[in-house]
Amino acid sequence: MKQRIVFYGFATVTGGLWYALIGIILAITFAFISGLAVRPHLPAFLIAGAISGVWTVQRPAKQREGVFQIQLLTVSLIGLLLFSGLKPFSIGWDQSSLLQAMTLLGAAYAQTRAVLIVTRPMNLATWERRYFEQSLILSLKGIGFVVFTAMVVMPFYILVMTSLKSQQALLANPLDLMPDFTVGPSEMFRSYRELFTDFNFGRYLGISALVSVSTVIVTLLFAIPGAYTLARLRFPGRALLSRSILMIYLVPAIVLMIPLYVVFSQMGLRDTLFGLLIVYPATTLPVALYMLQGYFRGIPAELEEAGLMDGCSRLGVIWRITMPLSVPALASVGLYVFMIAWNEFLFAFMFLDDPNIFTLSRAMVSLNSSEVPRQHLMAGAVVSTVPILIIFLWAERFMVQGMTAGSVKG
Amino acid sequence: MATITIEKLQKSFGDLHIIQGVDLEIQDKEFVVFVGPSGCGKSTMLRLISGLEEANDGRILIDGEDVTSLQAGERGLSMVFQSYALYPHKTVAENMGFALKVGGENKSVIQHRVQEAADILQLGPLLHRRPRELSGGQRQRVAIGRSIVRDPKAFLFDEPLSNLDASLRVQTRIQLARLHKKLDSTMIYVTHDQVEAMTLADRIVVFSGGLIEQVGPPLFLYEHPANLFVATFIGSPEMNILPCEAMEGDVVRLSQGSVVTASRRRYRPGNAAFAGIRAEHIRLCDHSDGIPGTVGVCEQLGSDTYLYVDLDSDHTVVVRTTGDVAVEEGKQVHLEFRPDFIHLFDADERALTSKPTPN
Repeated sequence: MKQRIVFYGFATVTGGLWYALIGIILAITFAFISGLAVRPHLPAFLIAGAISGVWTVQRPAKQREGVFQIQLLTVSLIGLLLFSGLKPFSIGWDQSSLLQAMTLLGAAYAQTRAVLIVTRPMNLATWERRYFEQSLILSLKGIGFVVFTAMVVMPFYILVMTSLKSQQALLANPLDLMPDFTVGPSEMFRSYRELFTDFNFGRYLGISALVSVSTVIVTLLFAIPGAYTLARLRFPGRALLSRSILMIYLVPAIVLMIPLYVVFSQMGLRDTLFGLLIVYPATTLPVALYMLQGYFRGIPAELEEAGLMDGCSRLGVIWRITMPLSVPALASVGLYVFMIAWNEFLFAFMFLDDPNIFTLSRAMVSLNSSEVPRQHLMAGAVVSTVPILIIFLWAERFMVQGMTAGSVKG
Repeated sequence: MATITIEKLQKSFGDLHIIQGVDLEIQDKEFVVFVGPSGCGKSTMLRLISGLEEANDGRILIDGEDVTSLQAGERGLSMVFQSYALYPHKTVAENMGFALKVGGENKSVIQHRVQEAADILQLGPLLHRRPRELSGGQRQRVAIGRSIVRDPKAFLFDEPLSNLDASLRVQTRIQLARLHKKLDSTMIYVTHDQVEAMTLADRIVVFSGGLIEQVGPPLFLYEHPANLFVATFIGSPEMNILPCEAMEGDVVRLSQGSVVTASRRRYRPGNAAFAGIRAEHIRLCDHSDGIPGTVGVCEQLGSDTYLYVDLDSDHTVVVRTTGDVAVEEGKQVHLEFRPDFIHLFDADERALTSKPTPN
């Protein structure tokens, strides 16, 4: 008896959760496309989901094919409509009726598929703990995947779509995210064009690239010998030094802000890119040192000794053996440093006053005034995000595992 | 190609004195094996010779030239590591030619030398593979090939076979012996494996606690151990050691009361405190004037049978007999120690019946 309660209870919860989750996501998508104030009728989704979950699991797994799936879809549709008082998305059927109908049908289809998939291991006749666990894992995996995808995709979608819209359209209905495709590409990408012509974003893009690449180079220039020293060489105070590296992060950047501002002003470094190139590597070095040090430790010492025997100097060994084997670590450290430098805002905001040497993030702030329309801001955000995206996809190929495979017998 | 002379070499890590003043002379074209228990300093010794470790005191000379302060790469030696240490990002050919490339040789010379070494070790078909695509035995051959290509003054091997499985180890061992004959060069080889030491070495150096216990050809060490440590370390099963008491002449009384005659020539005056005899020098005998004992365990290996005979509650000796002998466990037996093969040691564990130096 207790088993049955757990069994059906689990099915109820699973069904309800999946129906609600898919309902919410499709409702938001519907809202994005139609520009209507759509809200999913949650109780209806939960109840329909619970019924569908229970109805599915009471049948043996083998009898959930063909006709049953159509029945389940029909029942779900009727349930969703019935329990929500015919308004599953809280709007009348006179508003974009076709799209609404398609969304409802799509939701019901996705919901029934989801319930059928995650309850596949659930079978009352062969009820065992592991089947319950399998089903739970399927559910959690699916929910995690769907939720995180939505969290990543949706803001980016809003960003891109808003940047493609005109000022008038944005003012007319801020909710409507569908850009007007009829105006043609030149009008759609107007805010991008203006960003580069009127707001000088080409220059800022270049400056950000220059600053970020230089930061990566300077950081690696210091981090590689530093990390190697900590990982391989024996000297007094090594353990202390190694441990104190990360302690720099105990001091928040904002605390350093005022002293640095004063010192940099006095030294004439404040409104210069060179000043940033001192601060950025200083903030990224600890993590770079820490990451590289760990990786260098993982490279077998015999490999370097073999290099020494083969006539390399210590530096020769680092250059010809350690570095080629550390490409994955160097790539991830480089990427990390690049991202920090590219996105850095606080120091750029405080130090840079001259619009000729703004970095992208600093330039974005100057956009954020009442005179500049919102789509320009969004276009600016897209412009500053896309390079990182491209670099990330490109750098991924270097982050392969198992570089040292086959070198030594473990 | 090279003689290696080591003078009063010392090495310590902090308070830990690993090498405590070692003198050693390695002849040209000699195959010398360092053996000893773990932590005895044999590997450190090799690394000191290679230049990977710096000595605290003493000198290392190669062909009379003091190399103590030279870097590893400048000594003209090559080393084969236990873990192979192949460069994973280079092909077999690049691995083998790396030292020459670092040395600035031109490409055709490198290619020629790599090909030569590959022919010796049958590595031809593997030249363009990467280490991860090789089996353990192939990797080991590449590691050896890499050291051959350099045409070094001497080869250093740091337990090169201990990562191979048993049958491959035997094959590679024989290959190494052949290689030594073919290359005719000085080789220093560290191992803890007795069989490797006995079969490969021209001379064995036994280390213990950072000092050399004895140096000599394998069979000389086997027959004339200078002390108790070498006596028990060389040979398998271990030499049987029994406390004893000197009596008149060559006669000693064993701790459990039996009296035996040790007719080996004595080289040093002194009183015997321990008598040692190898398992193969003990015979089972019928007559009751032998040393009585009870068979505790009988191990039949096919080729040999080992009997673990309890003389009294504290002392057990191992007896090696032919494989067809089977003795019931618990049976009373009588043993005869062959008088010519009884080694005597004094209270300081130094041998009394051993030649001080090999002839």
